[in-house]
Amino acid sequence: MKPAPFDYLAPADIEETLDVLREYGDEAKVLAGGQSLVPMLNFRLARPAVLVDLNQVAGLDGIQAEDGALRIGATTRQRSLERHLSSRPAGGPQDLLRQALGYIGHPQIRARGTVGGSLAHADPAAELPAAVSALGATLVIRNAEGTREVAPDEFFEGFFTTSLAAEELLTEIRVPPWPGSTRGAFLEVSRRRGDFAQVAVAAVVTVADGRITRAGLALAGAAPRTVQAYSVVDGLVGSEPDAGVIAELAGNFAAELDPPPDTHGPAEYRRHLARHLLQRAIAQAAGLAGPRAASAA
Amino acid sequence: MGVKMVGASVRRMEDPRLLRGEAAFVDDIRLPGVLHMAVLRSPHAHARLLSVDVRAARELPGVVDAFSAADLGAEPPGIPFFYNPASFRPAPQYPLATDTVRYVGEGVAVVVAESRHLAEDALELIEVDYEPLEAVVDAYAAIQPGAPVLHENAPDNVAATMVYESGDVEAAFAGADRVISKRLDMQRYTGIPMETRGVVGHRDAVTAEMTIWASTQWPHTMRTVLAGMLAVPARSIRVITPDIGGGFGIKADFYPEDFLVPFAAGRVGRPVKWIEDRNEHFLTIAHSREQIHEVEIALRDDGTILGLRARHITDCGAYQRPLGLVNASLAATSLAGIYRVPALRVEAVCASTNKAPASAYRGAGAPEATFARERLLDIVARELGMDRAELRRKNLLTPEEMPYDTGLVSLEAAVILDSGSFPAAFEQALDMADYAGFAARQQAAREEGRLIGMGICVYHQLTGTGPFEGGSVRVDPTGEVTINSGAAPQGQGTATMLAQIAADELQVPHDTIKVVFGDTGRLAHGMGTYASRNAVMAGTAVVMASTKVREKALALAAHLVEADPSDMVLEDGYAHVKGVPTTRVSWAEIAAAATPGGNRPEGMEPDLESVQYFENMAAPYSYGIHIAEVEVDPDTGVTTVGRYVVVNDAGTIVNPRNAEGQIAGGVAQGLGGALMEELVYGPDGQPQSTSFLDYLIPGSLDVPDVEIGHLETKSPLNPLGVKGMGEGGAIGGHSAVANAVADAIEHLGCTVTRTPLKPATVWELMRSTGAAPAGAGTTA
Amino acid sequence: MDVDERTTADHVGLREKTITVTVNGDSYQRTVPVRRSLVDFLREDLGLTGSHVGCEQGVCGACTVLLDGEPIRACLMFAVQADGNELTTVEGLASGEELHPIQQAFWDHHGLQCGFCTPGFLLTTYDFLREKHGATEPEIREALSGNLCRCTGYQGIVRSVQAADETWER
Repeated sequence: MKPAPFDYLAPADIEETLDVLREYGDEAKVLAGGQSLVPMLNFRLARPAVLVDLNQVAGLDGIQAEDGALRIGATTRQRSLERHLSSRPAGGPQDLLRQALGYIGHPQIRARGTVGGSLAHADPAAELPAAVSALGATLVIRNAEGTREVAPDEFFEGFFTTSLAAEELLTEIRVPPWPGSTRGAFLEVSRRRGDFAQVAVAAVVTVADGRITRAGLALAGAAPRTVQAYSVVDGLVGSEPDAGVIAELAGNFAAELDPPPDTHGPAEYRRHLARHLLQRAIAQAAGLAGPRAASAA
Repeated sequence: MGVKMVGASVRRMEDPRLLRGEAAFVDDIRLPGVLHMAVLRSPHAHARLLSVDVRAARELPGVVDAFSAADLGAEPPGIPFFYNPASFRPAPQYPLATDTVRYVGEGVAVVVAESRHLAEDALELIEVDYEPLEAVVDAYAAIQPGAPVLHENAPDNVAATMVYESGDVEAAFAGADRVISKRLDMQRYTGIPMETRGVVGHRDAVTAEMTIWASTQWPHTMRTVLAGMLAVPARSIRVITPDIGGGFGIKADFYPEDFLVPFAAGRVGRPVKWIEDRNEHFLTIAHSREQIHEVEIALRDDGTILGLRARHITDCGAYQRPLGLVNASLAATSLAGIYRVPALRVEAVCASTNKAPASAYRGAGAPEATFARERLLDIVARELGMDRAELRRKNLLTPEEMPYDTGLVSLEAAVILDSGSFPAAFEQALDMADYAGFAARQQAAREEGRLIGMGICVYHQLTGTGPFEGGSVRVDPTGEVTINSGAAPQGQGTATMLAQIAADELQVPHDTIKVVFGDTGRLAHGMGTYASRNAVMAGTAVVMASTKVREKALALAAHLVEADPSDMVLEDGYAHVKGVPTTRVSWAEIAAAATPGGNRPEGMEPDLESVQYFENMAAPYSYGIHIAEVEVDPDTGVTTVGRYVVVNDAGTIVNPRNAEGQIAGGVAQGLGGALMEELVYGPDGQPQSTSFLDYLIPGSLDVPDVEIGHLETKSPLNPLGVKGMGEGGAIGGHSAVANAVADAIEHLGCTVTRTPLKPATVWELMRSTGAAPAGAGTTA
Repeated sequence: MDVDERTTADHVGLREKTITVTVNGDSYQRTVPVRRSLVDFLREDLGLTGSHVGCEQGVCGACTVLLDGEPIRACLMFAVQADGNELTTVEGLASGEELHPIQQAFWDHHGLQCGFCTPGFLLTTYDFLREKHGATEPEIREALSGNLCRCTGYQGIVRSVQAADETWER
């Protein structure tokens, strides 16, 4: 399990990185935290000719919080973001991000793994793609010519694939502010602590004057890519939080899912988990949480 | 006698080196000029091997050698098998595939290069022409007419059928009030130690002796097998076991690489190292456990067992290596457990499939048979409307019936239960677990919508198998004591245990004794560490050797102080005349007197060393009771194991703390088997559990604390009264947890008949009943 | 891809690099192939064989070391990436003859059997207890969940961490 030969480049700044990516295109592979890429290199499932290490690139990491919004540099370590969020009040929308981070591997993985790396890797069972999708984040992408900003749904295209072109670099994640009466919840069922989700649900719900005014819902592990539960959001917005309504919307949504089966369980089980976790996560984020909702597996 | 160390929970002598990072596992052996070997493995489950061309690999800079089966000689040596029952149609494995590959991962060619990276680069340049054949991966399907055939000498894919019988089975079933039958399956899973396998070989230019460091549980066996396969004298091979990072049985095997590394080292004239990577490990390590049990039990209405009739099919994989038939045999002879079963007939079928060869793993057949029996007993209790503890209580053998000869003889040993207090252990475990109060708690939990269950497992295990183990005790003229043992432990704390045993005989501090394991250059004969043999076999050999040294030392000391040997005593590292401490003579003085030319009594042989072999075919049987309590999440099928109680009886316990560590560790593996672990193959024979992300071993959050009670019914079969016990946790753990999950959900109307009980499986079981709890409804 | 299809002249970047790292307080300068993992570098280039290779995919934790104080999987980093950094490995825990209180606790409370996973557990525990005093058993089990042990069933390890929490003055 040793990687095939590659050439190693460690650019010092973003411009140099973009130049390198433009020059080598598909031949190059960007190395951020390496927590997913290096195993693939070791198994020789990934065999880039050139490895472009982002870890020396200045100005690509860091967290800025202002007016309820959050700007996260792509190479910010997951553990750094977790520490940053831990110092903030629990229960708010960004707390969902903190909860999601807690499910990613283990401290040793998060100490090295980056926020942008996890998004760009686009594992359909990974937590962060679901979390940023539910939060309605914006992904900032650069190439040598300029910058574009995309919504998560334009970014995550399929099984380990994104709309990121070979010469492009994800540089920043912008999490928008949510109204003050917003709560977040992240629930996951995995085989073991730290394993990839069998299914995970990220839910952000704003309740104002007894009605749901805004929501974001996304699932990991339920499809070949992170999926957002738009039909559920549409059904919720404008209504009063109601367990029956939530159950029906979640059930209808989950029934349409076609999760890929694996050795851990059949598609039917994952559909069931999707429905169950969606229901609980919405209830929790909408303030309906019963005693059982607190004991996510 | 003075200080008594046997029975003391002392800290392990092994630990400081391990804690400091100073241990020497096989990959830590660093030899100048070492080359690295990599193996090209078949991507096909079954294919004709038309050609293998290694020329391009040889040309890659940094590659020193590359070869295939064609280079092993006109008649490549096969890996031998150790048992040869009448029905056996051997399917030996060759170090590299010759004309057919029969499982994914089977070795096809080898590269030796300056680095592992380069060796793996070169593997990609080897050209192999395969003609794919149809694969068969299910043992039941494999033995049906028309299935793809693995080996021409066994067109029905049956490698052996062993029949074990005692009592009048036909009469037992004819006279029964009830006959209940069930098919119960255990999945393919195995040891998966944290250290993979590895072999380093180096031929000494002066002596021409090949020294091999191997992560093996049986160095002497490896030496002997290797000498045969290489056709060289045994004296030209020395096998040394360095520190071993876990084994659990799967390193007591002879693997292709055990031959290929020394063979390659001989070809290139430089040291060669092969360290199995984790991917290779999952593909090629001895798989285990996979058995299909068709069991029938004959009973009276009052629950008295009259007989057992069973057939089990063991999935042996593609070949049989040395212990390939053992799981099948031991499952048959373990089926009755420690219950009174007057009549029994078991047919043990060994099936060949296109999967990695199977062999023994912690328990070796006992976990499989225990699952079949203990699961069946719960099913029987439910059908009879009888309490499951009462059913077991009624049929347990009593101390008055000991020793109890079952009349069965497995490939390993006769099944004669030497001693035990089964009912007492059983009641103690029920008390510890509050079995009596559980039904009420379970009912209360159900009313809250929670599913809890308690599972009981009564098991026994074969331990301390023969025919022998060797051990030497020597005292150097400087006074230090060294033990050489034929054992090759992998974390059991055996050095501390043997030092404790010798310390009692010699009355020297145990932590001043050096214990050396598994070096064929230091001890002529040895067997190794498997089958829970360390305490029984290695321990008794050390008792024998240290007794001899003690007697000789007393005679020498008596001679030095001009006293009668019978008046001498050993104390605090000295010998002296009883009651006269001023006459004391140190071990250094005694040993100096023993040196050739020293001051010895007339006629006494020089030197102060004894080499002893404990020869014994009568294996002690230990046993235990495990009770697990679980909670199943009705919404997700996730099982959480809560309380866990063990009552263990392995006779004298030399180091209770080490023994408890063996139990806790074994339970974790049993739990893994019950809930998490499975080596999955697709229908085409492609393995799907080839990494730690697909094959799940329990983590720190998955395993409960284990509460342990001890009984010490001493074995009459050896001077210490010990029985082995290292495998029991894994035997009891699997079925206790599986039975607990069953107890949590079977009232819904389902029946647990196979493991692992992963969340999706449990959820499907609950859903299948139609009477599912709130959360387990369908979604579509 | 054919491994020899590109010759050295085609290299766009580096196949080897000279790096300087500080390990357990000692500075080392070595030239290493860029595809050599950090754990292979520690073991083969520096002879620090206490860090073990268990899976090379970041799951088992046997190769856990501290990189600038943070616990990381040394199998998921290339040695060249550690250029200029400080590392702590198991060999750096004890002070001469005296075991570190965590090591001592593992010895006193039967926190190991085969010892292969142990260095990773020690460094994970070091990172955990450095920040945490008075840890509960669930917190300890959570903190250890990224390290696999196949021998102990974790019981002795949890006891050892509890003991070290009390004995380590930090």
